[in-house]
Amino acid sequence: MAFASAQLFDAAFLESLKHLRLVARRVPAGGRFAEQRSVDSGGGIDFKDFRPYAPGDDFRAIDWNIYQRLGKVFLRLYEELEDLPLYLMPDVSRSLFLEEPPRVIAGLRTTLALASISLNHHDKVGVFPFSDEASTLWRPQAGASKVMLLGERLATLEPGGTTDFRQACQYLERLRLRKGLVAIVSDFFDPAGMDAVAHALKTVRHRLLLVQLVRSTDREPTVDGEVRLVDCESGSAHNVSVTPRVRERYINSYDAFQERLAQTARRLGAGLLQIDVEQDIVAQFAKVFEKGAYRVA
Amino acid sequence: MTLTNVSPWGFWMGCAALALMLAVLQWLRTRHRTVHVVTTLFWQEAMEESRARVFWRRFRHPWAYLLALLIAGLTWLAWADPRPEREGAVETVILIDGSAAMMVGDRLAQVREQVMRELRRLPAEHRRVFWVGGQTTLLLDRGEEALLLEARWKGRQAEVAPSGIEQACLALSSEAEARPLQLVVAGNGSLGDDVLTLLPEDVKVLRLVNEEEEAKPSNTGVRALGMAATLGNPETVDVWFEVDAPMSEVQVKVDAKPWTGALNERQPGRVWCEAVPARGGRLEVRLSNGGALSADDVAAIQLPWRQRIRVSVSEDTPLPLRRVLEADDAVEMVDAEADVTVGFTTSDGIPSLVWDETGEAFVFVSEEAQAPESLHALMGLDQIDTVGLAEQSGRVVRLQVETGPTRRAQLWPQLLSQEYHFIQSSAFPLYVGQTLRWLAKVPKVDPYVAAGETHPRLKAAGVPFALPRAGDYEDGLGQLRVAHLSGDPLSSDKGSEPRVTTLSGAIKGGSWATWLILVVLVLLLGEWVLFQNGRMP
Repeated sequence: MAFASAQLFDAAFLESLKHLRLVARRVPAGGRFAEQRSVDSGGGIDFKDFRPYAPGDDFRAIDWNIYQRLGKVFLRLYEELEDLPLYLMPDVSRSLFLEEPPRVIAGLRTTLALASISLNHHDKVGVFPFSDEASTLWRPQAGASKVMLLGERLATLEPGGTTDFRQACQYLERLRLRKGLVAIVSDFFDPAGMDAVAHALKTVRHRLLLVQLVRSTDREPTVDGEVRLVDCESGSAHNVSVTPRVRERYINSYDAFQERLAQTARRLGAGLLQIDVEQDIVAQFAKVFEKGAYRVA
Repeated sequence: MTLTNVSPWGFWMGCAALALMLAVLQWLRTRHRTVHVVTTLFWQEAMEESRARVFWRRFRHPWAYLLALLIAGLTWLAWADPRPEREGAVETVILIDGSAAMMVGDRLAQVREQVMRELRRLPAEHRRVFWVGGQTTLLLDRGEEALLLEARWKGRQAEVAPSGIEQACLALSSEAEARPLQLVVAGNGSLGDDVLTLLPEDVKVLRLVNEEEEAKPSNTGVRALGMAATLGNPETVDVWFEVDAPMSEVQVKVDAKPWTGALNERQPGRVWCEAVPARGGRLEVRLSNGGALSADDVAAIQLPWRQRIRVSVSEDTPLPLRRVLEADDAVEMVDAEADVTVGFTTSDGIPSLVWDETGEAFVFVSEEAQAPESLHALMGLDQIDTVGLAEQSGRVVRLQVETGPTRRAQLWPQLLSQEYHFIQSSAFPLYVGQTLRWLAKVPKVDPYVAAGETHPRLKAAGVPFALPRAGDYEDGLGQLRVAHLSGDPLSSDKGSEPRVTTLSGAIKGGSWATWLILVVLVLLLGEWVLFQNGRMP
């Protein structure tokens, strides 16, 4: 069930992305989540260090003042500011296509919003959707003008299978991408459980931004009475008598899941951002940036 | 314990149906509604999984089922309205007063409403309903549906009749030997203390009373109406009546025309209309303002048809007999067109008084069979010296009754001679006068007939009986009009009857239904609490 591009990214949303980019632009240097100082010295403007001249070095970097004083040739090193590649991993498992409105809309809009901000800062953006297996939808590339094209590609995504973080993270690692920021947009409902999710995230050598797609009924479901609950991904069914006591235990279990996810994010130094799928995505992002900055780590 | 609204069989059938229905509901309840969710992770930790759909596992919550069954069963039992066994076994008889007193206002309509309401509370197998008007009629028997009573009551009106409640109570009290009896009087018919003391101890008398207190109605009416033969004038009668209203409000009419003759109050409270022509008309006494009860505002009496008896006598008629005939004001001696002939018979069917030695001493020939005893008294023969006559005549003196086409009276000729002392006896003129009137079929003047009172002329199997209500009747002697009720019907309105329990609500109080409903409410509350605590699915 692919979405029409116009349906997924309507005019109002695309218009609001401009506002989001403006808001993001006001974030001071060093505040962008996709900006990093490179370990390499280069042609930046901030002085970093000196080192002895070696054959083949750029003569323009020789500090002639030191040569006059010490009679030795040293090179003046400046910090090289590099962009931080953003690797977006939207979850397209079946669970994101359930309910109304489906979470996948919010997930893909979030993906495009993050991509739009990064591309606007000339960062490279790659998109690797996943469910029970991951794939490359958009190879890492820069260019602010490619936002619309990326949007069209996102709209072609079809529902996948179950959510499998282990497979998704292994796929990402196999790509051997330049170190960057991995933004995982998902509900994090992996049938293997939160332990499997945490274990898989540990294998990611990039910085992590976890964007959790939530809705109010996740914590307080509306189901009541005698129900047969069918997991939309695994197809497993469970007959449940939803009593106040059961409902209370459910909430406890959900809260524990949330706590575990937050704990995992803290341990991995990852950012955790909750997006309410029933609210306006851009407005929620704008609120984040209006605070000044959003640092992953 | 007995059930009011349903039979025991029906009750248990209902319980079985409830149990089955709840079981089905329980079964239906475990048919889970399928809901697709994004994940069952949290439910797996939280849920109490329902059992698979096999019968023995279906009742996963047997205590919940039993509690629901208990609540439903108690509600069903409350509807059935159980009563204690002793109370339920009591036979209840509702006596609806249909007498004249119930004609006042809407008394009968109110009683009807009360009876219909109370009837639903009584076990059908132990209750009956009687209508006690001029006659006592069974309106609803044991086991019959209450709806039948409505159909049978339809169109019934209170009758111009005295209250028969006391007689009905006495008649029904004999049933108390079999089981405790509860008599419920619905209406205003009074129960005298003398009657109540006659009732067995295990007969309980109740009275349904209106919740709205009724003001004592004021009433006046015609209390008595009668007549007597006018002395010296066989063609008129004297009519008398008693009223408890001013004479200015009294109107007397004869055949719908105002009576212009004199009204004399010979005795206190009794007014006479003297010398009213006895021409078979109808005399009506009416009050212009009779009060609450209209039934006693008017009374009427049928006047007899009386005229002189034209008698033709033979020349050989014994002198004593001729003198008696001439002395009788009601007799007119004629030569032709006689009503009765004396001493001879004719072939054109004229009744006759003759004498003949054959046969019995006194012979009466009538068109229809008559009891000798009644004629014996009627003709005054019970006053003659039968033994003396028998000794004198040497024959048995007897009365013989025969049937024939023409009335005829016959006696021994010796009885009319000086040989026997019959003509000297006081029975002789009586015999002659009564025989002539019998032969001429002169109607008898009934001095007084009132509904509910016995009268000498009214006998059944020789026993006097009372006609139940006012109105026109026909008997063997002609038309008889029961003019009125005796006394004021409202004067017998219910009074203070020490042994009668008055009830304005249910005939029986203290139903178990109320307590059962309370128990059901407590159980429902308990179920709610258990549900809130998560201990009840």
